[in-house]
Amino acid sequence: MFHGLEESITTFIHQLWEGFKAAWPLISTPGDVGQNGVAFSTNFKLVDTWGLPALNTGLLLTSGVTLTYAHHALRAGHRDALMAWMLATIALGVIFLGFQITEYGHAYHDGLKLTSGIYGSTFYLLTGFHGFHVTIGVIMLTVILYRIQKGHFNLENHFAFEGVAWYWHFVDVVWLGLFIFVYWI
Amino acid sequence: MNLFVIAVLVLIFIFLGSAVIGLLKGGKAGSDRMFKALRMRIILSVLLFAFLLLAGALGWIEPNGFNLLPTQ
Repeated sequence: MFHGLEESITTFIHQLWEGFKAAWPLISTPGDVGQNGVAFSTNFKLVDTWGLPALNTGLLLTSGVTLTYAHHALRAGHRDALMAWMLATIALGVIFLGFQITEYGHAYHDGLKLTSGIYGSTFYLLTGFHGFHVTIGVIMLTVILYRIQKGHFNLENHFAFEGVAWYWHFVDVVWLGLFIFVYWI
Repeated sequence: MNLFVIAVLVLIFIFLGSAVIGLLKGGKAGSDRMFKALRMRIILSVLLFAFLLLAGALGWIEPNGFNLLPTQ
């Protein structure tokens, strides 16, 4: 009885959606046959972990170091050093974003899109969401630099600086986590 | 090895947590706590990154197979 029912359902599904496969549609990986039955690219190989991923991690960690020096300069009342370290932090953040945009350009050009299987969607979700936060962080750091230049902070009153600094450190740690979990563990 | 890396990452997050408590506490003591915690977190992060690169170079750990990216 159940076998007959199952057969009827299968026939019904095939009549409605010919070629239907009961599988998660995004499970294909780069190099696999895509959803439309055509391989979207065969020119894939393992990315060099020592290349851009490591470079970007180094850049963000360096920005964490420069921000820590900026924080120290603020607490010590060294305004010129504070501005210089903040500029360095912002510059490193912008360079990081530049590398990420370049990488996106290469990836998209080679056919890796949000629709390119589970890898494409995961890759863009993780790196894109993080990149968005870095962009917000760069904007906030720039506003803080402007406020430093205007003399809004002193030794006792600099909550805005510390709030933004904590945010930047958090974004930095999240990237380190991504680097570890995506590329190493 | 993986457990060690994860443990250090957890420690880094604990320092981040300590920093935000200092931030919310405010005042000189809060600011001191925050600065010291963030300093520790960046030191640990840089050391962990250096360890990963060293461990990878020496073959102690291997990059995983999930890092597919298109190349020219």
